[in-house]
Amino acid sequence: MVKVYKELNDILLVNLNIKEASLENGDAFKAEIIKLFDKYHKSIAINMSAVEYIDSSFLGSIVSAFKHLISFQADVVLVGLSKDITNLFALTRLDKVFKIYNSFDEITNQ
Amino acid sequence: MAQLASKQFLLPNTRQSIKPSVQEVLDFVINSLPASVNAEGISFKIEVIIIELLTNGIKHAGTIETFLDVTINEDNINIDKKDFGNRFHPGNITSLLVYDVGHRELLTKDGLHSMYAVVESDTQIRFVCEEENGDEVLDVTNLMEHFGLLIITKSSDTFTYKYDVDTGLNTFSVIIDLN
Repeated sequence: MVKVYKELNDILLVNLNIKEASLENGDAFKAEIIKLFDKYHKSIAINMSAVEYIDSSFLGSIVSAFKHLISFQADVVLVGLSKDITNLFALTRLDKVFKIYNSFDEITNQ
Repeated sequence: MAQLASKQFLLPNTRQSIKPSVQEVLDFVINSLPASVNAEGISFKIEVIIIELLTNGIKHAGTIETFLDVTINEDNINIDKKDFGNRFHPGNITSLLVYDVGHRELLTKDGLHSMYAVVESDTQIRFVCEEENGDEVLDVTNLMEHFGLLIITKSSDTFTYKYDVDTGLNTFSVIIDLN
């Protein structure tokens, strides 16, 4: 589900390769993110441009993974959110919590 | 208040069926809306509300199917999700009989929101969400991880839950004002 795209000095770029982010795969997603963090020990930027649909359970899994990495002074960064998912992050005010970028290029060009 | 359209959907209570169910309901609502309504804004609200009502049903109801009654009026959209599954107990509420009408029970609280259940009768509660003002530094370790009730509450104008003791009917009722 989560595939490494590129490892940079301070952040790992990964692609989330699912269309439906839901109750069905939220726990597995969180486990994969934590496993990657245990291996690379750095912040993780998740490209979600393939995701068409997300529910509250998956949102909870993203927040849970984020809280885990924050406890180790790392971060979860989100990339490529669709319009509806952007609206959902605004509705839940999670857009105040996560750093959100349009593309990996925005991160690498910083 | 004139009723423009009404339909009852019988939907399977499975994870795989949520997306097609949402699309089916959404198509009905969009095609039934008055011409004066901004369909794009309503579409997002309807979509997230249906997703979360059905997801909540899968998590808690324990039934094979769920009923969704959708009514479009001139002034609002009313969505009632009904099932005969497990009674819903938000937060620490085990019985409404111990509370006075008007009592506000705090369900969840973090640096972004507080969610309350307001007792409307001995069988009905209304969900209320308040945004925190954000003057203090946000404690991200305290962030809530359950967003279903919050998403429905913030996407609608009224969101209630009623339990019929005699029949065992659970009714989640959502109203979206169109004006």
